[in-house]
Amino acid sequence: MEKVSFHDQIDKNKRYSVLLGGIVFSFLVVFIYVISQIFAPELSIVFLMFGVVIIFVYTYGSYNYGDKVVLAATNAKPVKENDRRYTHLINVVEGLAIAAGIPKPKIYVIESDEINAFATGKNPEHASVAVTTGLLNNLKRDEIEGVIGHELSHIRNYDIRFATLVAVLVGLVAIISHMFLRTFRYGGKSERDKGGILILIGIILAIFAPIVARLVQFAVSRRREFLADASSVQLTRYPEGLASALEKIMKINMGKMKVSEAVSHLFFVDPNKSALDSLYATHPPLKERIKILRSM
Amino acid sequence: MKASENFKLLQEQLEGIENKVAYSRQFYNDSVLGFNNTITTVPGKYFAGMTGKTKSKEFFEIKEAERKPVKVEF
Repeated sequence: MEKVSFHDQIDKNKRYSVLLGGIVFSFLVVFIYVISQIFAPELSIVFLMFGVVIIFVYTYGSYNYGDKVVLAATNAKPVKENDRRYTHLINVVEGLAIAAGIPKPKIYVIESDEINAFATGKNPEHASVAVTTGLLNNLKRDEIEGVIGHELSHIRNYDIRFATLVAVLVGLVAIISHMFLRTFRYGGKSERDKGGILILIGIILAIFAPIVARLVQFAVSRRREFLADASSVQLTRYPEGLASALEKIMKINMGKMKVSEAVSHLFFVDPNKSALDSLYATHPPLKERIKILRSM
Repeated sequence: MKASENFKLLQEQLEGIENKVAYSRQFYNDSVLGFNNTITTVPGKYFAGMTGKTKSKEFFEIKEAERKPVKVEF
């Protein structure tokens, strides 16, 4: 049973990744077309050709180098193989990688008092897992194993490919929409008379695209978290480790990790707490996760 | 001081190696379980019949004594 379900999940993630790339790609092409129609209708073909090339390169780049962008955005530093401070972390990752049947991912550490972790990459062969120093200092070995097991499950299930693409592409859509709205707001009067309906389309696209992008981010990540919790237990055979790690996180974390919203859905627990927690949360509530783990 | 630090490292490495052995065994047995389930249930059963892979694999089992942590003597 278990086997079948995670293979299904892998196929789904690969499919969704292609779909997401395609949707963002076509959205941007339409967008560029609308912009060029508004500002320089006679040059729209040239615009479009340049635009398509640039967007293609960007989408391709997000697929191949998205993990580097995410790691840089979170200030994660690579761990050297012989660094004695991290021997136990390296051993835990190596052991669980064997259990999950994936190659050992690259290991990174983030300086932060919060307990958190994330995984990124395009496939298990090119994957990285990062943990905070707060996690290493506050959690016991079996608790660390639970968290790492959770992250390695994301890697094995190809959640990382989709989540990393979402992080990078969603960021791009937000930036472009924002740029468009600003250009329009400060644009000259003469341009406003042209276009008409096209400008309206442009504005609607620019307003709704980031909202839709955020909704995708929320929707995709919550269910995956439960699945990764369950897979983690399958690897460690010890639900209590992960449950008590989550309990410590409830006590210790202040929700004040300084990371961009675009990458927050990659993390083990939500790095930023907001007033709109339940509505906007990229993660299911900790209490619910603990309850499910304790009932396993 | 130095010696105790080294000893700690040794202990850590031993624990790491023990875990890796256990995890390898677990991964093997999980794979066997998945394989056996597939060839005995529908629809995998029919494909297994077609390709002649109908024999279920054996689990890797060890004696209780081998499960205990290794003793290190100096």
